[in-house]
Amino acid sequence: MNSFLPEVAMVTIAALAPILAAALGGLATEYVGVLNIALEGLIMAGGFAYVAVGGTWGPAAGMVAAITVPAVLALAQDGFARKARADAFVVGLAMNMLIPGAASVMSELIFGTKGVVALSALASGTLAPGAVHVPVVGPVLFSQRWSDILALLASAVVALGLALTPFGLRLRAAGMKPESVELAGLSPGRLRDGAYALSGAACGVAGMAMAAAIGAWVPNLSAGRGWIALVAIYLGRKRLKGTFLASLSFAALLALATLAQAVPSLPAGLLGAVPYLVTAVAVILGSAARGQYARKIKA
Amino acid sequence: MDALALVGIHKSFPDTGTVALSGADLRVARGEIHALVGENGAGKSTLARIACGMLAPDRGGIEVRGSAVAFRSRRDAERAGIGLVPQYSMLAEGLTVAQNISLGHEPRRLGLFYDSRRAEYEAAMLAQRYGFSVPADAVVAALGPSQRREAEILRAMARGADILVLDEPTSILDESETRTLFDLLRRLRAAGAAIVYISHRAREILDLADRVTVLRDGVALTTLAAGQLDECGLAELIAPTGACASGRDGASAPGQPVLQFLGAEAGPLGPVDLVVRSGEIVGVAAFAGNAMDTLEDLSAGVRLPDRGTVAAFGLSMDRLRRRGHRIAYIPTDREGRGMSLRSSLRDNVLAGRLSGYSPVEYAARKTPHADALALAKSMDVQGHMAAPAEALSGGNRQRLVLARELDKRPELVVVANPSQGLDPAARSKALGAIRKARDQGAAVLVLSQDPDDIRDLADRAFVLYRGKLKPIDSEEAGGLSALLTGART
Amino acid sequence: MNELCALPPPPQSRAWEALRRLALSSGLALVLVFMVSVLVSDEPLKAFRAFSLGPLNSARALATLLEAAAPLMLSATGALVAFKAGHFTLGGEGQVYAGAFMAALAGAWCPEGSFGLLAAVMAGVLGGTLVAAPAAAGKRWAGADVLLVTFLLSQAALHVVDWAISGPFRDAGNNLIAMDPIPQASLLPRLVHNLPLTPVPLVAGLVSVGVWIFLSRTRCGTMLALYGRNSRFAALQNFPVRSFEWAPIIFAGAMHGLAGAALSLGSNGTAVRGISGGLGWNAIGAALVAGGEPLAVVPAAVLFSWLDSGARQAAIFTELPPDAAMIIKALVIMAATAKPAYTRLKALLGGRKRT
Repeated sequence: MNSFLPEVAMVTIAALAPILAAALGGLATEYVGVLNIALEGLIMAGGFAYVAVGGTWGPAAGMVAAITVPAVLALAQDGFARKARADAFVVGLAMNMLIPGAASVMSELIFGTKGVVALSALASGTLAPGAVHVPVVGPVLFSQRWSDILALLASAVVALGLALTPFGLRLRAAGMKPESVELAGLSPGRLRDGAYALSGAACGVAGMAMAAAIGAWVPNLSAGRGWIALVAIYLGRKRLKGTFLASLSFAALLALATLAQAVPSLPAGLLGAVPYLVTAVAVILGSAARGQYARKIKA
Repeated sequence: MDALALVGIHKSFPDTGTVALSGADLRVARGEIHALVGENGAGKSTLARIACGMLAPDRGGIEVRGSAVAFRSRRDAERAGIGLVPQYSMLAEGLTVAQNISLGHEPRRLGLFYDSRRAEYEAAMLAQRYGFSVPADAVVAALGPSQRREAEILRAMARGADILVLDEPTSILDESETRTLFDLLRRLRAAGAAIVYISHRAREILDLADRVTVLRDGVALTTLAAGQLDECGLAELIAPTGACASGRDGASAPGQPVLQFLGAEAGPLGPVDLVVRSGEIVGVAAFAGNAMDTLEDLSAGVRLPDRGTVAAFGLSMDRLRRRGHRIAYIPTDREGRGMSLRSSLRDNVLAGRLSGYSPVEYAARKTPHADALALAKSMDVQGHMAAPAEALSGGNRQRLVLARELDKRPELVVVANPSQGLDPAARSKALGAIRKARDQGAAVLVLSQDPDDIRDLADRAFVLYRGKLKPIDSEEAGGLSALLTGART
Repeated sequence: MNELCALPPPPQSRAWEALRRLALSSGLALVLVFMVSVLVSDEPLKAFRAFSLGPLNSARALATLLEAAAPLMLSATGALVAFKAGHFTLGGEGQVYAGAFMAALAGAWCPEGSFGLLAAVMAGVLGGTLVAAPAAAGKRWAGADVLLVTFLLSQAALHVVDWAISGPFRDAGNNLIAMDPIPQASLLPRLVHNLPLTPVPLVAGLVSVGVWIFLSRTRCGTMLALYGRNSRFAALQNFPVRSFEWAPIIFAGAMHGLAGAALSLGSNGTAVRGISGGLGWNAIGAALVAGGEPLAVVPAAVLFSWLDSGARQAAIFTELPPDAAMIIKALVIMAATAKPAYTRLKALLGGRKRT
């Protein structure tokens, strides 16, 4: 039992890395007032780009690809929605269909299989394997994979960009009232493009972290993390701090579900459902609590 | 040499098929306040947006200080020294005044991070220079209408604009705030600024402007010196209706109490006692803001009072809706509450009388369709039945809501700002329809920011002051305005 | 001003609009199939032939295509009603899976014959409804976000049903991970001898006609559509908004459950692991391509099934990966949601600058 808490903390941090990166990326588009439903697909694009490019040119090139490919995809997604005046939500849903399809086809073309592609060279090492025996900090921090640490650092950069830079301010202004940025000589459309590109890049980092964690590409690599990120944004009420806290709670839930699978007396298959059920209940109860006030004002 | 000249401007919107401008001209000199007037839909706001680089003209030339320019973006116009104070707020509500003003030109620390302290300092200095009271660090959502207007003006002036375009700037200001604004504009004029002042209020224009350009159907009808005009003549130029004088007619015959407020309190609204009886129009003059919105919400049953009761037909408002009483509600938030923008005009018109059809009659479609056409025509709503309502102009939307709601043969009518978006002719028709509802026995409650609405409609009138109702003599229109102003200060 | 001149051209009728959209979508799909064949296959013509004509070249193939499209029609119609009401239900996948599971359970346990079939169908509907119910209740009582809750419940359902099919309810004698087989007499009857054609396509067609009548010809349908676009307005017009908050979600759940039952009671003969196979997501796609027009759901679903089955045919004869169908479907959805091309074309030809 002595090692239980550090273990939970360790697994939580590992689970937090992709969720937080994706959630903060999604928050960028929420700032400009659009829901990027395609986070799930973009994570997958990042993971696939990491494996596909990294498999040939090494992990560093893979990482660059993992950031740029989803960013360009997200940019194209938004560009299409704006230029063709299509519904951004629908285009995002289609992206969630397009990316796994394209990844599967390309996987077959490049690796000759549409199943698992394991490349041990791409698996991430841990931060400081020698320091694992340092009490508490050792297992919690130094045994983290560098890919997860990288994703957390990227999340911090995104958070800083949103909170403290003129870019973040402009995004918020564009979301609250597009005319306010237009009158300031800026283009709300370009800002939206920027937010999408940022969300793509952040999701790409999340995908890279997920692929590097197992050193492989697997179909359905993203495993619902993009959706969980969306839920975290919603539960965090589209604020930075809230989104962080919600992501953290999720990561802890997932970590507990993962650790519980090691307990033989629990049905491992059922445990996978628990985080989703708990969250669904949390969303409903959270809305109910908010509803007491809102109903008075609602028609 | 003109400070700003717009020559032969054409602009149409293929999406909605509207031709906003077809060869409009406007020439504004340095040190001049130039009024741009016209009916709703005459193209005033489109011309303003073109002058400010927010919209590209299809054809036509723009000259600034004698040299031809082509604005590719708002930024080009900003560099040429043209500032805009828009008709509807273009401030980001959740940001501070300083953040709004600095947007696009944010001061930075380390070249990367937003320097909020410096932005606030600069905004405060700017406010001080123009003698404004708006605090630089306040969030816009917390400001009253006049301070918001100040923030809009500060933003327009922040880049050193010497050509200023103001689009209906007084629409949300009371008289003393209007006077303050006029003083500022006169000072700017004296300093050599060229000011384009868009309005449809004849009295204001005569008070303020040096010259007047009248826009009608997308072309400039004429440009006159303001001294050549009187109020009636100008109104006639804006909209030739022959109905310059508007007035009250008919008399009230109050009957049973219909809508009752008993010590009702909610948010900023203090205890309110009010009875509206069938066959009378009760008017409440108020300034835009929380208290007025709350009163509207309570009257329409959108919100329940925190204390006290609001009842209609003897029933608390939350129980009322299911009882089949005929209530007409014409809201201030027309798009949010009064219509479904993406639904067809037909469905929007029919929404009020759906339950009146038998299933077979409705499925056959013929009768409802004819009814929808007739109803739209009764209030001159111009549009295609199958097209989404978002294609309608503001005036058409207002007429649509009025037509649908007053068609319910209502027992209770709650109207907020009945004449918003309407030109004089449509306004008098709308007020006539409200009076007709009263004559047919409805109890009518009118809330309006426009004292003229109260003067022209109300049998009994109140002014909403600091969340409470004060009775006033509605016959004295002048007295009403004075009271409103007095009440505010 | 002569305001009539300022009016836009009258919009096309909705049926015409839907037809045009479908024709464009199908044409685009064909072009994409050709492009994919050329890009990916060594024998592009053979691949294109197999892809485009394979699903259509015999009565049997046609019947299979229609049969495969039918569950998609059902679930897409359900999704469409929810979308019309402004509820973005993303939970179709889990609802279909639960429906298939419950139908297989009831089919195997109940006495065989038409009673067993009926019980299995009802159980399927119940399964889909149960997964949707907490989302509907959450919306009705707490105003909870439908998109998120339906998705989360669906994910949970996927895990639970996966566990049930591969664990306690698994038929040990089967090589596939599947439940006990439903007796032949309780399966859906075949309409024509030797053809895999059940009554499901007919039922699906009838459901979409029924929904079309409801939405376009009844007062309640008009109210629902107005509610879907502005719920606040609908409440102020005294519409029965309380029911609109939950009923469309339940209806969508029931339709997805029915589709799941059709899967179990059709050629599968029971619930197999992963039987929903993306049906929930495809249903959303088909509903979007249909553009809110219930009758257009039928051809849209056929289009989607044609792409799926074509890709499978092409994969047999050539090395074209079957997942190419997903790419094509995604692109078709994107194109279908874009604003009509002709207004943009006209604006271009008119030489007007858009801003």
